[in-house]
Amino acid sequence: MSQIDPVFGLIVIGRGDPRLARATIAASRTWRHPPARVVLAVPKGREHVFANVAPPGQTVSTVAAAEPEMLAAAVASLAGEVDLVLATPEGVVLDPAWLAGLRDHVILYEDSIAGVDLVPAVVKIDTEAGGASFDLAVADRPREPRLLSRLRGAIRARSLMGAVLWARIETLRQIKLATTGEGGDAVSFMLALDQLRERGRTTVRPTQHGCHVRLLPERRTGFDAGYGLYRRLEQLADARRSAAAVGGPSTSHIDLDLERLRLMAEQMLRSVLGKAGRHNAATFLKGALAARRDALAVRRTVVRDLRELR
Amino acid sequence: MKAALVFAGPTAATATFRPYRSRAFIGALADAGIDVVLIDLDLETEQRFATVPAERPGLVSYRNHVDRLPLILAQERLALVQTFGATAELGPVWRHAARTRTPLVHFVSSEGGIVDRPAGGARLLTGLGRGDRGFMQWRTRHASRHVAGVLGSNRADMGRHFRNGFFPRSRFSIVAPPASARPPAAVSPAVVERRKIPVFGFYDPEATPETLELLLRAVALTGQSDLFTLRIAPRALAGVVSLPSAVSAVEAADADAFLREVDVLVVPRADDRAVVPVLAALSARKSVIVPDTGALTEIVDYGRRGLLYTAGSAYHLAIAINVMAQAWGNRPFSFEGVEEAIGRTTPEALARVFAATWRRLA
Repeated sequence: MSQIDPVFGLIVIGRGDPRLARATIAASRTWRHPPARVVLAVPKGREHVFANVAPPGQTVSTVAAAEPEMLAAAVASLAGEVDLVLATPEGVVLDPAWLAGLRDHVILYEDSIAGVDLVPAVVKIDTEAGGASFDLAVADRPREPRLLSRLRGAIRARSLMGAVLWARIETLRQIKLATTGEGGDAVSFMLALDQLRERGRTTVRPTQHGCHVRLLPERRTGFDAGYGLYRRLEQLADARRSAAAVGGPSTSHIDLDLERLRLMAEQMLRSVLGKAGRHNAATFLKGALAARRDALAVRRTVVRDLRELR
Repeated sequence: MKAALVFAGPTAATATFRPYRSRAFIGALADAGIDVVLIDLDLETEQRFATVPAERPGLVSYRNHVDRLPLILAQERLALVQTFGATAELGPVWRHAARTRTPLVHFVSSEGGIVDRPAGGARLLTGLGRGDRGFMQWRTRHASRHVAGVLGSNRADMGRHFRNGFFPRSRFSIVAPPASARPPAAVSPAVVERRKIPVFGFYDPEATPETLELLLRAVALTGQSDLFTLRIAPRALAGVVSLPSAVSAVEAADADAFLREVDVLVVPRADDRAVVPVLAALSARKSVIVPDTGALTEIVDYGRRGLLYTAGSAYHLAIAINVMAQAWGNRPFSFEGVEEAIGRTTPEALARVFAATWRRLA
């Protein structure tokens, strides 16, 4: 029987901006059942950036680990102390209604063990207009129309969307929890869900009770992000083909073909119709195309080598 | 409180469901204040399935066709109906029971459960022609909206049902471990003999050739000849498939007797019937290798008390066997909480879970 009052643990995956991490942590204070522990997972060597991220009166423990092991290390630090673990990248702000709904769900449905809630709503904050102090005060900012976020949820690549992973912590044993670089958190979470699928009910659904904070303008080139993300998706597709050959899990929560298509289509639209982010989108697209070209070249080389071996 | 236990269809007559119509279980329900009415429904009118009667004095039982169910329910003035059986065969039962507006609870087991759709399969109209995914499944799923609560022997099979759209109006789901007919004989850990080379064992009197072939393929895939030995029981299994020289078939009266001779129990099947030898092995403090789905995963506490592998994959089973053999001197498993896990499968403990669930609805 599940617990009547589950104890929550919140993991915030911090990468670059302490303001975003702080916004995510600060939102948890408004929850009716606040998390018993808050863990900030940061890449090793970047602890100093997140030194003062804890809001006043809230205790946040920091776990520093190598980039792919951040989530696994944070979950390990919570083991034995909480019943339910919530993991989210920095910048995802969750409303009290989201936690209340999740709490009811896990109490009522004992077979439900994990899920990924996608957050399509976006709050854009212009850092140049002087509106981005250390405390972003996301709750006070106007939300975009719900229709717009629903439309974004339908067409946007899951890799670029804000996401929350929740799971019963005892079911996470012998599950590989890997994280990737910036972007791709939703995909990493869904890969964890694919492993959990055989253990109980897993769900992927959009939620309107939260928002994904983005700081604008984005002046960085998107080439590295596009290359890294598309290359990761190509590698996953290859790994899935190899796993199918040896009887690995056959079904998945993420359709990698559709994901790649969504990724390219969205960036193409942004690079043509976008305003401030056109340069970022165009370079992102270039990076993704370069990754695709490289993947095809590698595949051709492997096929040629195999043919020559015969 | 008066509740009906409805066993419907040929699947409900199998060994998996016998503990739920046993004298111990029904007696424990009576102790918990539940008056039980036993109803056997034969969905196939031509042949009547043979069920073991619960020999309990004073127990009211019926054996009839499914269209008589509303009449029986109205006559008995029941507070609740609990159904057992294969999901695919229960659509008419749920429809008929819903006519009396009695709350319905269904028990999901690995036997007769819904399986996930394979990846890359036919979709939309092309899939309608298939028997397991066609119109009948849609009708059963539609009928499952009458089910107000779901009990299950494990999270994995319940999850498959919910994922496939079954029980859309279920108000809650409760996990009750699969029943074991009797608690395994306790063996003191002090008498466990430690060998240098582990002896792996496989015990399943009902093993199918497919199960045995999966195990033997995994043993061949390990590529090891002197890292472990494998014994299978009972000896009659040697006639099912041809055994390689490294595998020996031995005679064993029961799982407890067999487990005295082996160090690690390997379980290639994932259904609820494999629970008994696994509980016996854990009780005797023997390591287990079990598939990563179904009730076995929960009994080994998701890998804390045993090694998991991807269900149905000989490749991953071979990796698990190699890991267990190579880490033999220093296995990272704990037997903490084993007695509690075994205690949850007794008829008395199960009856308490069932009674508490029914009281939530009635």
